[in-house]
Amino acid sequence: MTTLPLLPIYLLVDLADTGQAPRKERALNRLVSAVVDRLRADPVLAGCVRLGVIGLAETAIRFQPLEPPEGIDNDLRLPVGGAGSSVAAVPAACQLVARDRVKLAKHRHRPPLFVFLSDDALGIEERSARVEKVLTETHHDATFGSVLYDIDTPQPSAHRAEGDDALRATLGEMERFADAARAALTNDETPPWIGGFESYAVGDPGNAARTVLPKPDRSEWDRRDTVLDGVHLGAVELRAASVRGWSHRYYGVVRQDDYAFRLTEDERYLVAVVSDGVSSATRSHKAAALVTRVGAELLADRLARSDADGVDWVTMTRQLSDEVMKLGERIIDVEPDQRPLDPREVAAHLAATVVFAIIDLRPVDDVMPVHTFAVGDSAAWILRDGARWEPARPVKNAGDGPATAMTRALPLAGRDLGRPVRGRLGRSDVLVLMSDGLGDPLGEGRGPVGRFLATAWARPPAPIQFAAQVDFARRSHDDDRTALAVWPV
Amino acid sequence: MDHTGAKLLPFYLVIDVSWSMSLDGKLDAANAIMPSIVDALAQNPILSDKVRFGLIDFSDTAQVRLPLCDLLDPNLTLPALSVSGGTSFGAAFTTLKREIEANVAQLKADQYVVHRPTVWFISDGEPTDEESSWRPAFAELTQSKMYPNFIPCGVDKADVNVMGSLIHPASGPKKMALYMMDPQFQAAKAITAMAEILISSMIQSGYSLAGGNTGTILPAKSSLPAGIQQYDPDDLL
Repeated sequence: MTTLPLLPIYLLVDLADTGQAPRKERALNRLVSAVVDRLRADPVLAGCVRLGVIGLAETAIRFQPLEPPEGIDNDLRLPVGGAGSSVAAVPAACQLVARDRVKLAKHRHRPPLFVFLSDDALGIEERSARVEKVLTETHHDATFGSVLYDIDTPQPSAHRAEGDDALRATLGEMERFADAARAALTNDETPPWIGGFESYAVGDPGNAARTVLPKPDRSEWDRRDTVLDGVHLGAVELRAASVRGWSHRYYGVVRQDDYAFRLTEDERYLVAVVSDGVSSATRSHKAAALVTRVGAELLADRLARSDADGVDWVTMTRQLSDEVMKLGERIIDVEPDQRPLDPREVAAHLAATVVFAIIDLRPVDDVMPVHTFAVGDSAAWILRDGARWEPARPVKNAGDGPATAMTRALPLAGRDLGRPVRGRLGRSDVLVLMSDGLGDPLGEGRGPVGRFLATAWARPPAPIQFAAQVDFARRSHDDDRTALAVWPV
Repeated sequence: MDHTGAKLLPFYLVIDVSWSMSLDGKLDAANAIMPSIVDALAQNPILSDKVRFGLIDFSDTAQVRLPLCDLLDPNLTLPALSVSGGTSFGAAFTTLKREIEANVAQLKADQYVVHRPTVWFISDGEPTDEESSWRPAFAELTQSKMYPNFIPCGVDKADVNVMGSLIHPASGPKKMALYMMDPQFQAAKAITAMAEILISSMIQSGYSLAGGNTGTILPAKSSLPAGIQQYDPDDLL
């Protein structure tokens, strides 16, 4: 016999003191304990229900963590008092439920059922709509019901629900919900599909990933939220993804990161580029798109004429800078007498960091030589032996003052360029180019994000999975993210 | 806990609870500030992921009523303010400096990327401690490496020149400003208006951060609530 999936049910209890606190408290607790008794009495529900009780007051208070009915505290008493559910209480309840879902993920379970219990006959419609809206924004798959109960000795009428009616209504909500589970018991037919999706999170996922409904950028309908690739290139596997951050999703701004890659014609070298448009310049995504595409083209072109050691990075950077300037002249709207624009003026609209890698696909002693070069804070890392993150280039340092947002970027970086760095990519290593949206949470690679990505990228994942991993949720990390990873095979 | 690279925006509300605050509904207005900030944060998840808020009140002494924290933490209870005694600016500045230093040190130890703190300082009168004692305390606060952006807000009997001298930074591209209640305006309403300005500044600073900038953004003068004047440091020379 198949075991039933768990059914998480939450009683969301309005604890507002409407002037008759002792009476309300008695009625409410009677209702809740009757629900618990009824759940215990039904063998199907007793087996699969996990009941949680959350009070809505100034904030959300968890009175009963998710437990099977027989595990519910018999002395559970909900205190009525205070101003009642504030605006903050419902998001706080969302957070409590989200935490439970992380734990529930280990078991087969159905989406949660929320039952909102209130005695506020006049306000229940509006309030339950508000609660439902916030909850189902975060928990899209949830079922929601609301139940009105009467704290007075009931005078049954069409409009006022009597105490026992409220109990029946609450159980009705639950049983409607449990019917599907019962059907699954008697019906052994397995669906003709498999698979599922659960998004990644490292530590506290934050409010953004839980509650933001992504908005489009109305000035750039054709700029995609996420792009991804997964290709086999003979000697290496490549995965790449560029993902819009939660902040840009919230404010309706395009993804400003980009990437590009290509093989040289003789298939000797793989060229890879990641670029991060500087967000204070409003059309930086165009700079990032140009820098990656043209950068990869220029570099592959040069490698047709020289080997990787012979690449003149200074000239190449200047050429790329010139291309950004030309784009600036085309798309920046100024009076004719203000032309030609200088790099500073262009950079106010269009600026992007860039990191390049050349991977020599002809290994020497099983090791592929790698060259990296960067302008600004996009980074190159090597994951050694699937365990240790090693910077392929110096990492941006935090310093000890307060944080600022400055980085070097094209087209301004004419002088004082960094140097190319040579590295070695072994058979059990992974080369990863990334924008700082990923570099910042990775830090020096020794924290939880470093461990997560080392585990996730020990072997090349499915391309869509790779993109989902790049898009992991972590509180306060809401920048665009791009990663391009290369595995020798 | 390792929070490598996570950005944090610390805010402090430092509020006068001397005896005079018990008059004309001022205390009720002051007590309504924190709940309105909580409501604003609950509606902006990008901001609420990064904002930490601390509350300090002061009379003859200063107390940390809410240590720097996440205001949407479900286990949080907001403190209720009550009045007592005089108006010691020195106590407020010294306590604030100690809090900022301790909080920033802890957050950095947890690997957070900490942005410069913003302080909203609300007072309804003149300081009762000696200028020779609160001036040096203020100088120490504003000359430390982790100096805050300090925004004084004066209501009722607060003196425009004393409050104006607390604007910090008072020059440069990121200079702050003073908010003063118009004479004759109702003090309790002015306190509510100061909270509106604070919230608007917080939301705009968060938006600006998303656009790759840092620093405290003050709302446009044209958008100020009725009864409040904004003074830039240069207006008070």
